Amino acid sequence: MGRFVVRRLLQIIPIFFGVTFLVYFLVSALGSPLDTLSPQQKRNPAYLEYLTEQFNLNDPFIVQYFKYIGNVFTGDLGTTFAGESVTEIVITRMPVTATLAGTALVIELVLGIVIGVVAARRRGKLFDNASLVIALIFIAIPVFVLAFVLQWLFGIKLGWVVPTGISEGWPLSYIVPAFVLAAGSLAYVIRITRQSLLETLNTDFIRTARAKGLPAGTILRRYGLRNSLIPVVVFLGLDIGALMTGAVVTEGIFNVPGIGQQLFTSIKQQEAVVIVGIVTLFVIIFQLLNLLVDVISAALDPRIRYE
Amino acid sequence: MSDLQVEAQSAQAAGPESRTVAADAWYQLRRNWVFWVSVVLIVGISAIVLFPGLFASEEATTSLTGGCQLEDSLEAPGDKFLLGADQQGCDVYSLSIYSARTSVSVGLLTAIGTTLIGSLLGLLAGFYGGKSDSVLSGVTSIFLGLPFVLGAVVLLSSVDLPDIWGVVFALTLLSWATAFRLVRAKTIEAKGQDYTLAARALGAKDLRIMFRHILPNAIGPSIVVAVISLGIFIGAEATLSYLGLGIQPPNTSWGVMISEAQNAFFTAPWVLMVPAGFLTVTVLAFILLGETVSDALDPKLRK
Repeated sequence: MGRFVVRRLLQIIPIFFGVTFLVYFLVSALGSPLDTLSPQQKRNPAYLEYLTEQFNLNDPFIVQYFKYIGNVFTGDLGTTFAGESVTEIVITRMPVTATLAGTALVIELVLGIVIGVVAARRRGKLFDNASLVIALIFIAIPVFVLAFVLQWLFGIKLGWVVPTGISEGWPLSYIVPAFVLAAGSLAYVIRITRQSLLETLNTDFIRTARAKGLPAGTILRRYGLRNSLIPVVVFLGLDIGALMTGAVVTEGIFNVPGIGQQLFTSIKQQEAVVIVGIVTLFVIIFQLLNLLVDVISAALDPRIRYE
Repeated sequence: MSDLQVEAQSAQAAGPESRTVAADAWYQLRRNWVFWVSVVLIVGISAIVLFPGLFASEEATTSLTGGCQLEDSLEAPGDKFLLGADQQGCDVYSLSIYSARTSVSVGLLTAIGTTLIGSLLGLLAGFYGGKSDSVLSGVTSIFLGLPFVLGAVVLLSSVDLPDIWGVVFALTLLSWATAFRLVRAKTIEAKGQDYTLAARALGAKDLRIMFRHILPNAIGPSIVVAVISLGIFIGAEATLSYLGLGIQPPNTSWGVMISEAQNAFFTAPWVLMVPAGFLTVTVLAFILLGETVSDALDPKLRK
């Protein structure tokens, strides 16, 4: 297991350099951040100077990249035009985003696995079909539409929660945004759990367990679920990217003061420096979480470890 | 499914009674009502995209011809406006119909682009192996390491690109890697098969083997993924346009409509719900089609 983790960590290094290079390539190799400025910003020499300095636009591309990656390693994600450090903004906002993402994760795993298991056990019945249809709708509906609808329903129509902000603290202020953030992934977790459990329940070792006379509940918990949850864990790794995108929109709409909301505001205000800094941070988190997911699946399934 | 594939598979089939994979899949699909629902929806959406004039009049979508009157601003659904009017007093239904073309085009072009680039590179990497394969596979893991909507946000916010083609370019550049992986894996599998060896023994050149024998057998899964991702790309365009980075007004798409409707949503929900409904149904239709076809092609799931 230790060797697996080390090997996986070593694999991350080239990918980390590659992805940060790609981000930087998108920023300044295909054009210049000065091109997208609004007319007012273009007339402001201080702003032009600020961007040139932040992105090292006077240097050759490859030098720009190394300066940027050097800054990332020393924990410097750039400075906003107002003079604030992006790193500091991110650190202050991190707990809020972590709380929201954690709540979303709990919702999607608990609800997803429970609904998936019940659907698999009642295959073809009303519950199964209904949960599959609802799951498909959650997959197809864009995050921001679901956000507006639930904000209106719970925040205004029913008045159960304050529609925006986190003034009521956890859980009341977080529950609706967390559900919106979780909805798409929740749908996939339901489908994957159901599919995977159905496949597992068809295998020989389950038949053997039944033949031995084990109670159905024990078979499900000890044999069925344990072997069915690996695809769910693998899915979570793939899904982190979608969750990050979702967090930007969800925090923006519900006015949750996390990192996503900062990115949302920066996009609206065209603050390229902040956008690049936060996306870089997201990429690093994305790689680390993927590593974590790989380690968990390797712990669950020895076959992955020895591949 | 391409003629090539059908041909290649019927060549493999033994005896007159056996069915090809494609025929077998079709036999499955024909009896699946979900498949027919998605087909009907997609035919309807295609009709709207190709001939919007049949469903609504363009005059209702612009004030130039007297279609939008400010006095009708946020008029509720009723006799005058079937599904209500937006802030400018334009008919929301007609606008949604005329927005379909941009939304679906972006999805379609991106799906075609990612499939072409991903499949071609995947075919080459899988067929030749060696250094070019290692390099391309390494590049793929880099692209997969950047969530594609976030990458598109960075690109579109720092580089000035023409809006529709810019969105297509950004999404294609950042999401061809999935098709690459699928086709590469399938190519490596097909390379060792007897029919490939037979073709080589008969003196076929690399290009002929790749495009005539391997590609038809390797591209199936990536076409299915392309159909599903078509739906996902339509949703991604809407997200980018919602953030103000995608399609720019006066061009319009469902994402642009939703973005412009958000401030009026609590007083006039139809302004947002109508384009959102079109968007959701379209995305759903492509995902359903892709999934039913993929299930039908998978022999393990046969009942």
